Amino acid sequence: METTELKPTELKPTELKPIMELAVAEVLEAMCFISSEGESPEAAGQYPPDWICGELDFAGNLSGSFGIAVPPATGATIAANFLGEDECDLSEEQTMEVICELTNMVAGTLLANLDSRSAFTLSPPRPGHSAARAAGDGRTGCTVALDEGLIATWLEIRDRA
Amino acid sequence: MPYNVLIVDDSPGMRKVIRKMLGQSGFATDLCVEAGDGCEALDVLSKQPVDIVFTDINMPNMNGEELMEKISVSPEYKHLLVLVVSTDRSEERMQRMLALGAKGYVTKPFVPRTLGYALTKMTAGRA
Repeated sequence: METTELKPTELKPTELKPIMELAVAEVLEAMCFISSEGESPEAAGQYPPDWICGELDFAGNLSGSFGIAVPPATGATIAANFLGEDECDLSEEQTMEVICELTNMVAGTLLANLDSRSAFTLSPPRPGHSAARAAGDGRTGCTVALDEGLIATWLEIRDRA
Repeated sequence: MPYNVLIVDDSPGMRKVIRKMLGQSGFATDLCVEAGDGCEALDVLSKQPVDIVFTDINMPNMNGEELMEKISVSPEYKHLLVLVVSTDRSEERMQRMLALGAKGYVTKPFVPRTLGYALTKMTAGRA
């Protein structure tokens, strides 16, 4: 991926979204054998309360937070592919744990694409709040269509260190 | 020669994936043990004959960098080969971990052949 000439805090949502989509695609392809079909036309906004969410905070040259949310069926498929298990053999806890790890990997990939030189500290990923808004209030949202469903992501860059 | 490995990561899922990929990569392992953070890793190392350590960086209680610092000053762990497996791709972090004594660095996400290649490179020349 080419390094952008603009500082990450100067990037508009239309410029951030492809970078977010690329990070999702890279992680899901490598770890879960799931292909991305590009940004979904579905609006990034509030998502249903049963979606499985992961979120974390990051700090370094940039600080902010990042999160993902997936419908239950997509979450189960992602977890099964990641762990190499059958979906029916997985518990909700295992699925949640995989989504949290996915949040960790996508965030790391995204931040490296935004600023390849700086080290970041990521907080341990935690289950997020499904009622949270995916976009708005300073957040950039990007929903990616998958061959196995949807994944919503959001990024909030608060300030530079 | 089969190696005894320790996988250190706060994600049980990731530990399972690394274990699975070790098998897929064709790398010969004998004992394979796990730890959820640096503290648990040191406890395992004091009790088990480990040759290779896979370690994440961002972990609670004791992170991967702190674990490397402990390993690097302990003569009893001089033989260990440490491979970092982390989401952090920054040059700064990579150089820091290598300076502390890590013999390899794999960034997440990764595929089995990446892990296999890093292990082969790390163990080249070892009996």
